[in-house]
Amino acid sequence: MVQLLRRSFAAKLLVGFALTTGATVGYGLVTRNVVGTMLMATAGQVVLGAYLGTNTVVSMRTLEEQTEAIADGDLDVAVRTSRADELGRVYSSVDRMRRSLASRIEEADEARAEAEAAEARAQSLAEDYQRTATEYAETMRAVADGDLRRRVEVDREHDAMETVGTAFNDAVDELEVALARVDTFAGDVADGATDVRAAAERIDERTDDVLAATDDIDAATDEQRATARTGAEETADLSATAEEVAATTESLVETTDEAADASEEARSAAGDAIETMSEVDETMGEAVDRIETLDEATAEITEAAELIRDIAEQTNMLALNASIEAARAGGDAGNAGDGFAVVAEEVKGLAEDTGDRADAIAGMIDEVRTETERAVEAIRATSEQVSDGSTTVAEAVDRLDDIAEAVDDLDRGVREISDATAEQASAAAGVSETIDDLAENSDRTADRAAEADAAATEQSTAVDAVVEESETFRARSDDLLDVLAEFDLRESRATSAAGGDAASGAGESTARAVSDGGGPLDGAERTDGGERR
Amino acid sequence: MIPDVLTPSVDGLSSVVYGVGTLGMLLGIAVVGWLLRDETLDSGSGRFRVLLVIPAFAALSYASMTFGIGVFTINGYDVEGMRYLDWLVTTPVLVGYVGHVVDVDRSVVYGAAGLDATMILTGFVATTTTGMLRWGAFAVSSVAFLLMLYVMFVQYPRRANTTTPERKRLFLRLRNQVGVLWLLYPVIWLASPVGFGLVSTLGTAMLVTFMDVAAKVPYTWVVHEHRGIFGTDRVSNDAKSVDGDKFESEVPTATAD
Repeated sequence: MVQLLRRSFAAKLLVGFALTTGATVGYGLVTRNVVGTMLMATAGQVVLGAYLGTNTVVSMRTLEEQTEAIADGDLDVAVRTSRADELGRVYSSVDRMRRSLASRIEEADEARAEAEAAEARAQSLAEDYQRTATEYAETMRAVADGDLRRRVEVDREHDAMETVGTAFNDAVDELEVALARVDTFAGDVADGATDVRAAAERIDERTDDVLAATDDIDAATDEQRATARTGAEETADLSATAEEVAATTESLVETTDEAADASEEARSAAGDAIETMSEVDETMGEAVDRIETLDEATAEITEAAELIRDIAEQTNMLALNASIEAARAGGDAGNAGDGFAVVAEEVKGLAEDTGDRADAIAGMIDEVRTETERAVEAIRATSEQVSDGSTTVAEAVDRLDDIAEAVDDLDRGVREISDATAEQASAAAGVSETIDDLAENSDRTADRAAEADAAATEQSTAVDAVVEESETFRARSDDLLDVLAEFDLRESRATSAAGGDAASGAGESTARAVSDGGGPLDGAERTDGGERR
Repeated sequence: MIPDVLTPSVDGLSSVVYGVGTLGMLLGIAVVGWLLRDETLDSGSGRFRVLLVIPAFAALSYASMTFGIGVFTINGYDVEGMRYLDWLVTTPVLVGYVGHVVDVDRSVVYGAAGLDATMILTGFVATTTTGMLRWGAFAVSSVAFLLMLYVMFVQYPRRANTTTPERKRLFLRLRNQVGVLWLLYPVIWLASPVGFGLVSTLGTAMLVTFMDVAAKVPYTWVVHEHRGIFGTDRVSNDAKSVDGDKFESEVPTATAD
């Protein structure tokens, strides 16, 4: 019910009428008063009008104002109401219409704004292009007039102009690098031509020196040849002399050989003598030995005789003692003592004989000894004499040995002389051959020197031509440098780093060109420089 | 006389009529109470407590009348003293709240309220006197009423400071209701026993009660319908001075509800 009242104005109206009519009817029934009932009816209508009518009028008036505002272009006014009935829906329809209109107008405005912005951009772009083109043209004219230091300030904002500017700068960079390299190259060529000229002049000087030197060599070889011939002759003489010496020494050797043989024979004879004397000496020695043996035998006999004497004395003593004992025993035993006394007597007599004989032997022996001593002395004297003779012979032999040695030494010396002389003769022959070779070499040297002389003469002529050519070349390269001087490059051409300080990209390749001695601008290097951009 | 006024006396149908009126005013209290409890609304900005005075004081008045309190007899007529007291308090509030909706200058609002009070007081004088004084008072009261209508219909729009479409609509609705409904009161007065006696005291009581309830309760309901303009999230509207009696549309910032 409430919802229906909210959504429907007609329902509101009906309910309002029902309520007021009910109130009026109730009033009439209660009061029975016509005027009062009329007043009540009027009051009911007024109340209805006051609420429903006023509300509707107000709604319509505000709607009217808002639609008028919208019609006047004020699309920001939201058309809203708390009403949910027919009027409320009219409100929302109008509001939808307003929003739709607003969005359309907004779109139109945006489109127009975009169009204007696009036009402004296009205008601005055209102006930018024109300005950039003017700047580019100014720089390009300067570059065309030879100022290669200039670069266009690249317009980064516009792709086309950026492409043009970058391409132009790259082209000028490369041109500058190329010209710098040509410049360097021309300078190098000029320097090279100067160097060539100087070198050619030095070669010329050297050639003259060579000519002088070959002349010297010629003279020297002639002299050498003459000297060699003299040397050959002198060695030939030397050889002959050496052969003579050799012959002389041969005969000398023979003589010394004979001397050696003679001394050998003498020594052999002396040896025999010494041997014989040695045998005599030996024989005498044996005799002395035998005599001494005899002497020793006599000495032993003497000792034996003394022994016998001692024994005889002791036997005598024994006999004495036995006689004493026999005396004592005689007194005691009679007969027995007598026996003893006889034996004692006998022994005593034997002892005395023995003693006597011993003494005789001793006497004889003394005589023998005296004789032998004399013989020994005689023999010794002889032996000494033999020994003296032997010594003398031995000394003679020693002398002979010395002689033999001397002869040997002589022989050796002569042989050495002979050998040396032979070697000398051989060496002299070798020297002679060498000198002959030397002479031949000298001849050849002289020939070569003559050839060198001729070549040096030709070279001198050629070098003169080179000097002339290099002069022309240098003149040309100077012309080239003059032409290049008309271009202003960003880097000094005087410095060796001319290329190195060039536009950042081309520095390396230029530097390489310089190190190559201004080598030709081969395609590879140029490509290298180009690709760096 | 005074003891008579304060003596309760239930007078049959009149008490029934006033009882119904009291119930009607309670509806208005409920509506304003609804507004006060609504937390999405700024009761300070809406001045709902002032608004509450209208049905509340009227309810008290009608309750008093239901029990016959404040009735006195003068010149042979029974006069409901509480009715005039009610009107003296509530009608300036009704007029003033209309001005508040579009933030009319205070001097103008006070002017309207003063004219309203003058109208009520002179009306009371007309009711309680006789002869030329009665008609003179009635004339003064009527003039005050017309002046008040002039102020509301002419001066209010000119002196309004906040005229968003929503506020303007509420203003127009409240003002037109008040202006139209109140036109009947002089007519009822003339028809009543105090006037030409065309309607009985009971009939007058029914008419006046009907008008009172119709003037006050829907008033609060209309405010409730447009309560959105008093929302707490609402920033205060830029007020543009309006010249003339024509409302210029301002930038709308909120729906009416």
